[in-house]
Order: sequence, then C-alpha cells, then structure tokens
Amino acid sequence: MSETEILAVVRRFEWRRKVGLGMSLLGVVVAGALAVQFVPGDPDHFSRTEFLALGAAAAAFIACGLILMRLGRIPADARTPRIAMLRAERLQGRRHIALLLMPASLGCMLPGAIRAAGHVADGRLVTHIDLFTVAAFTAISLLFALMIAGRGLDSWAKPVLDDELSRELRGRALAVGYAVVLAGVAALFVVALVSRTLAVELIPVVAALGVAGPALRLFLLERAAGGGGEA
Amino acid sequence: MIGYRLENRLKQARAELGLTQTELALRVGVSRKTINTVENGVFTPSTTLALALAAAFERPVEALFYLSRGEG
Repeated sequence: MSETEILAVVRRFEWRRKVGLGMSLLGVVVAGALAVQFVPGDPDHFSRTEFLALGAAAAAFIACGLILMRLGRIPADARTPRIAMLRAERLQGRRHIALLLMPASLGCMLPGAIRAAGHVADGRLVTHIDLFTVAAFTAISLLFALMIAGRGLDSWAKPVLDDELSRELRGRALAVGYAVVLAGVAALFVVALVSRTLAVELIPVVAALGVAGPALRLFLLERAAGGGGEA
Repeated sequence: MIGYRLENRLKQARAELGLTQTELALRVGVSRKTINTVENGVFTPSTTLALALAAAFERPVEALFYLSRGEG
C-alpha cells in the first residue's frame, strides 16, 4: 500500500471515529439534561413520556457512537513513525482550528452562565436549565483546559504534539491563563465590595477568560513557531 | 548565562548527511517544527535534546552547539 493510500484509509478511520465521538457526546449532553431533572428545587419537570423518549435517544446516541468508534482498524503500515508524524502534523492543524473555536464557543455559552449565576446571587429559584447551563459550561471549560494542557493525546501523536517545543509553548500559554485568573479573582474581590450580585455574575467571565486566553496564546505561539522550514 | 547565546551548526550537519528536517525529526523523536526552531535559534533545546541530536549525527555535542558572545 502506498503512503497516499494508507493516509486515505487512516482518514476514513479518523472520520468514523470523529462522528462516533460526536454522537456519544450528544448522548452525554442529553443524558446530562435528564440528570439535572433529579435535582430538587425547580417544580418544572419533563413529563414521563419526554423523559423516556430522551432517555432512549441518549442511550441510542451513546451506543451508536461507541460502535462507530470501535469499527475498523488502522492498518499496520500506518503505525510507522513517518506516517504517525504525518498524521500528527495534520492533527496539529485541526487542533489549531479548535484553539480558535474555544473562545468562540465559551463566548456563546457565557450569557447563559452569567444568567444562572445571577439567579444564585439574587437568591432566586435555580431552574433545571440554570443547572444544566452551569454544568455544561464548567464541563466544557475543563475539557478545553485539559486539551490546551495536552492531556489525552494518543501515544502515536506524542512525538509531534507533546515534544519539548510543544511542552514549552503550552507552559507559556498556561502561564497566561494563570495570570488572567489571578488578576480576575483579585478584581472580583474588589467588585464584591461594591456589588455582590455583579461579582457572582462575573465569575463565569473570569473562568472563560482563563481558558480563552491560553487558547489564543497557544495558537499564536504555535503559529509563530511553525513558520518557515522545509519538509 | 548573561552575555552568551547558544548557536548551532545543525543545518550544515544535516546538509552534509543529506537529511531533511522530517528525517532528522524522526531519528530524534521530536516534531519537524522543533528541529526548525532549534536550527533558526528560536528555541533553545534542553541538554537531553541537544545530546539526542548529537547522537543522531554521531558527533560530540560541541560539534553541533557552541556559545557565542551576544544578547543571550
């Protein structure tokens, strides 16, 4: 099998895995929406029919996703260091796009998280939607932070995505996040002296900046390091 | 160290052996980007990486890396 053919097979395998992962995550989101229904407080609940239908949908999504992820195998030829490097470099390109999308997705979720925080600060009833929004925002922020920190990388991709240079760039990017969160928390203390409600509402903003800052910094650092050179 | 800058002869050594950056990266087990940034002096490698690079060329590390007076 030629290098191009191997890469085409690998691309198909990776596409299937990606669709499977997407379906599984969708299932987890639906399951999460159902799980928050068990938290007492909000009198509004899904009906029994809605609950069963969504539960079945979540289970189906997770099962189909896991099956898709398990289907097929990467050819043995694709495990050579050269092919692994080509795959990892392609993956790096996709990770750059992901780094750019992280601030955008957090920005989209921020209004909901701020609204939920506002309900807590005002002592109003925390709805199931508020709980779901906060849980999703927290989970996604943590997931992004782990991705920026380079956790969960496949072993074949490590020579490219977790080598000395990558670790140094990640360290510099995460230092930005640390500085942002530190400054943000200090600012929250000051804001809390004036308005407790505003301080609580701003917590998600500080958290989002603590993730979005390192994502953008890492993107810029990796792009600067990647310029020039020869194949 | 103040006043010193780490220079290297990686590009020349690679050219002598007819190696591409990718081939050298595969030998050492790092990314092509790392080789590129070390060659251009953008990234200062660790002792481990410098020794691994020297081993890949079968040369002493001093033959590849040296200090020069500059804004180190």
